Amino acid sequence: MTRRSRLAAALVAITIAAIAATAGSPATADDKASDENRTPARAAYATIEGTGSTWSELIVKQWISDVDANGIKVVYTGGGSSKGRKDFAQGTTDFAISEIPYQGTDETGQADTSNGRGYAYLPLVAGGTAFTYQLKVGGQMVKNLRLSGETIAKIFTGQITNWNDAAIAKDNNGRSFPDKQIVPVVRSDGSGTTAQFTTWLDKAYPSIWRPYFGRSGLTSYYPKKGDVMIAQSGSDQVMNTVSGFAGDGTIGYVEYSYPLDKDYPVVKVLNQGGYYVEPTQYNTAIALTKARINMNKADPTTYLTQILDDVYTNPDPRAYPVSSYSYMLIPTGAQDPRMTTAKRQSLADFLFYSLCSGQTKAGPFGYSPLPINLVKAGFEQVATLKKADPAVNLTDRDVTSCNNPTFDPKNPGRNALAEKAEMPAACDKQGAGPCGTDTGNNSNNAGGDTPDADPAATPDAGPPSAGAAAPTTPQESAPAAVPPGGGAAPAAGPPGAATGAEDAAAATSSGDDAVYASSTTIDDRPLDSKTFGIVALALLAALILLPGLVTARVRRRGGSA
Amino acid sequence: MSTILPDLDRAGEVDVTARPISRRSTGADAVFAHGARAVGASVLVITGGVGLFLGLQAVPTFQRYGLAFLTEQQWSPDTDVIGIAAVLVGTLQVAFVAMVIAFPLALATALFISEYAPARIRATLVSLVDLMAAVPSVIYGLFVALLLMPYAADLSIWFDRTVGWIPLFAVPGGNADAPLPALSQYGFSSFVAGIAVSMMVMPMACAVMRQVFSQTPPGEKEAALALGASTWGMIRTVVLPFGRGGIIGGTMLALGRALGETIAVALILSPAFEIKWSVTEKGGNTISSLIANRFGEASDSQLSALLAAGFVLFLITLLINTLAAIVVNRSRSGAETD
Amino acid sequence: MTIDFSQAPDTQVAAASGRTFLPSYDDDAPPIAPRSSLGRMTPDELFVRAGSWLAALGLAWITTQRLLPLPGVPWFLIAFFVFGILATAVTTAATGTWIDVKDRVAGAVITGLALVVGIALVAVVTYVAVKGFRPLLNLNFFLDDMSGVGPKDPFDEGGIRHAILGSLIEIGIAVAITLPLGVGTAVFMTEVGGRFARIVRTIVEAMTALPSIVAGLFIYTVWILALGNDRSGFAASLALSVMMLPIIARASDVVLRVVPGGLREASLALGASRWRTVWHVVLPTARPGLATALILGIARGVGETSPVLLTSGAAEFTKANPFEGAMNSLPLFIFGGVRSGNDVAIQRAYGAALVLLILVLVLFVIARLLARPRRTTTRPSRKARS
Repeated sequence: MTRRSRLAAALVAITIAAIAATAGSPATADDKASDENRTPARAAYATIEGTGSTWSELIVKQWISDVDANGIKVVYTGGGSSKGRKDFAQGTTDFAISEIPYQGTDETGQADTSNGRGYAYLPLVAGGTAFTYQLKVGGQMVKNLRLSGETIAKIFTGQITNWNDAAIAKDNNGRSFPDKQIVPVVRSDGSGTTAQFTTWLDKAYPSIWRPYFGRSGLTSYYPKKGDVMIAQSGSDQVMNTVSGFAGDGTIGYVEYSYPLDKDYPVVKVLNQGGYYVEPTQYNTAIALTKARINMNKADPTTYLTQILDDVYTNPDPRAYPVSSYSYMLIPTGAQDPRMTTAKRQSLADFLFYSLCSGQTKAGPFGYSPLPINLVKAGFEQVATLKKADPAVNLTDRDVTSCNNPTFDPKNPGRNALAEKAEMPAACDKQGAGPCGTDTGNNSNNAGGDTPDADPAATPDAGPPSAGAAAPTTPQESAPAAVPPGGGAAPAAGPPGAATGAEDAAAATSSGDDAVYASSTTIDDRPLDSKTFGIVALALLAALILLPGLVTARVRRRGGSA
Repeated sequence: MSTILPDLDRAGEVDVTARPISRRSTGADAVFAHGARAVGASVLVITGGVGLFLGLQAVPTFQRYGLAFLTEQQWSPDTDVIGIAAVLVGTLQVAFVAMVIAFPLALATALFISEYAPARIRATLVSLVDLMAAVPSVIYGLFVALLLMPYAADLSIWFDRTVGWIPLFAVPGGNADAPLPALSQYGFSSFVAGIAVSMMVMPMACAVMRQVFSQTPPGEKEAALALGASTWGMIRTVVLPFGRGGIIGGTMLALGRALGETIAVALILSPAFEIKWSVTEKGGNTISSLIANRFGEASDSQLSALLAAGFVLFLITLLINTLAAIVVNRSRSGAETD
Repeated sequence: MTIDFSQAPDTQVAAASGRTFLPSYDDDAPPIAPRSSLGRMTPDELFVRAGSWLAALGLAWITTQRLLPLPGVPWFLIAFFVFGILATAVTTAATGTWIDVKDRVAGAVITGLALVVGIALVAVVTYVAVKGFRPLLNLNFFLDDMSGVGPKDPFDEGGIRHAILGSLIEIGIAVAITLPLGVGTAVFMTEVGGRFARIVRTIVEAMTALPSIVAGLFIYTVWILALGNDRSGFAASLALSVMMLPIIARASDVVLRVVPGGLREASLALGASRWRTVWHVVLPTARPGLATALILGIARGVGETSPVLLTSGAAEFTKANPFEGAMNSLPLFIFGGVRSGNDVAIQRAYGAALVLLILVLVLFVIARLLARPRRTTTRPSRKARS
């Protein structure tokens, strides 16, 4: 065998391997296709690609894997809402997902438009922007932190920098946290999550936000200031940082699904109704009942976009204030160079699944299903795909065949989910509690996820029975002056550091998982031990090494003499 | 059979006009020469085109932002303030840390392989180092980001406590003297990213150094040993002076690679757009990770700014690689004289 | 035969006075010093060296675990190393000269640092293997793709077939582009030559400095944005080609340049034309070197993430056509999985990293085998010399 033939053989082998691999896969792909063809007849599909929000990425990924069984191939890469809008405008994707619409032109003349590409907005899913944190007290994670919006705004603008701040203690009904730096984790890339968060800051706390930002309004790029704040790109990286080895003391903002996925706690945020609530699907849905939707069809650039001012001030005690919708951008132009009938069909059917059956997954994943009015409007937008290309088949794909958990078949006008929502536990009321239950596990309020619970609770009917809604152990260890469900002001004289410490002790001794705030810090090793150690080390080293050195010295002198 | 000798007398009758000798190739050779030239030209067009394209793309950026592009620290597309001062410094910092770690390791490993290791395992060691160079960078990134980062953060705290007065190790955000310093201020730093990059470039530098060391004339080495030099004495007086070119060249080649490393850095560093002296403080940025993080959301002018940043990076690595090539070649030519 | 050196002063005196003294030989005299074995350590030496490191072990333990607040294995190892060198220095100083001390310390430091490198390599491989072997236990990890597999599904669903296939296709196309161009350019630079060849060589050498992310950005800007093509496997191949072309051209150039001129001249003198000389003499002689250059280039390209990140999307399903639509590849799959922060996804990423590592290892072994000097003695191998 000559050298050349050996080389040739090697090359041929590699080529054959590659070809075999290539040839193998279409065969399997075909198998799959033929399998699927046995199920009801369906239109031809083509792969569609999209980029954008990481806020809604987790649920979209799940939908994509769900529709795969129907032969719809969707590629979604995330990368941030700004990237999504930009890719869509550059015509490199078939759809985009973004929390905020195209901003038109900003004050610096930078264009943020679709570059003339025809498009329509379509609400995709609702959800709450959650504040996830890692805070350890005596080696145990705090899982029931409560904060008011103002405190959050001050934390993210650098006005509150330590966990033992009085404002935080006040939010937690007097319990103070250890002396530990607060490290806010923000997004470094152009992000819809940041845009939602800063919109809320700008609308609800302009006096705190605007001086920090230097101007008014929202931004997709969080202005990172100071030495302490950490910036990370993508919701996933923010979540990784908070939950990572160095996460102690950090707090970051991500969609509720991320902490849920990691089993990490989220902040219960104080709402206008005076309760601290978690962004579960119910609380988000309640809050968004006050969302105003721009219904001006004449202007496609704003049609269906959200105006959330009333959401932030929703007086319902169940409402989670930082709730919002996420949007998909779909191309509507008949001449759109990227789109084909097959792609439009894939997009339409993907959306049909997402808006209907897909919404049932929203709750477990940490999002909230869309209400019926938005699903209806969404279907109208999907219809523009057919307008652009009459070959798109939309039969049997409408609201009547929609399996959406917010729909009440008997009473189509009402939001079934919002009516099912439980009232928050009494210990979540401002001035009471705090509850000992963990957050970030998707249990609704304090009582757990019980969809068939009494839906008749109304804001003024008083909180449901505290004994059922909250475990009893935490109640025992709560300050004795606050009766469960009392909702009264805290006992005379705010509990000081000593009380906090006792509470922590009580919490741990009672064997409950909850970690209460306490001002206990871990004692440092006595400083003199270090000095002693160094001296001892020096002595030891001298003891061992000096004889050798002396010998060498003596020997050399003797040798030279 | 008999040998017929040419009859010299009849030479005059043979046509004695010399066969025309020309350097111009004919027939298949001409096809070969022109074909090769065409291939060379096409490669020239492709590779040169890339460089030219980058240079041309940088022009509108410099027109738009002027020299402020090189001095501005912020990369803020929101406000149309864009500059690469911070990322440039960050790039150099990461590469600097990487080289501080990689250089002694590479030198020691090269010396160990060429002078200390038993001859029978030498080939295996060479293969192992080459294998280390072939391990994908994303795997090093994984290794450092998920396994080493906590240790590196602890080390950074220790640095801050003991030599915190050196700006290089000072971390303003983390109170190192507190019983529990904020660990979050010490991870995600240029230092940690530098560790990952050093693992990538170390084998590269080591390979060049080892190759040059192995070319040391054996006669000189044996002469040194015969004169009573210890192994280290022989290394110091023969191997290191002879291999100086290889050491410098290998280091610079590794530096060139360290400047352009992307994924490991993007996995580790938390993006920050400010010049900081400290390498152990969290946050930083390099040109390549800036490109990886921001290419997607860049508008046309920002894309051109990213290309301009890439062009600057390319110029730096080009400069360093050229210097390295000159140094290595000079040392090689010395090797051939023995 | 022993020389009695006690006579030496007299010899010098005698030499000074101009007379020659023959040293007197005493066959019965004991040897003055035992002859030291050049290759092996004496028991003394062995004891001193091993003893130093044993002492260092104890010292390091006392220091880090008892005296100073420096818990943890890393500090222990650092202390062990420092104390070992100190002890070596002191014990050597007790018996040897300053030169011995320097020699021992230098040897210990160099060996120690080389060990660190060795440990780093072993640690990387072991870490990836330990973290990533779980998904590999299921055969479907190789035979299936991620389509229809949710982020939280267990390992017996889904796999990385799409990423492996994508990597192979992308690198295959890149090699198909770069191999002829790269080797052709090298042949042009070494065999044809001329001023133009020097220009080409300069540019090619300059472009090896091109960072891979910039290569990716170039293709992204030109191929995807300006020319309006999709993100696709082919775009990724182009980016990889732009990155690999100068590397392979330059490496081939180096290999061709070391082909001895004598072989070429012999071939030409025998009447072979130039292209025959190249085809039958130069390239076969350089074959192992070329193969090594190519395979190392492939190993570099297959693990490169940044150009792929910019140019190919990340599809979750198997795709065999590189010309349309997103395509995944191993490095991209790893990057995405690690970033996601989801435990299952991270483990899958480790599995993919292990597969990638094995792939690189296999390529590497092939390169070594090809580069190995041939055993046949008909033609003395040139490679053995280098």
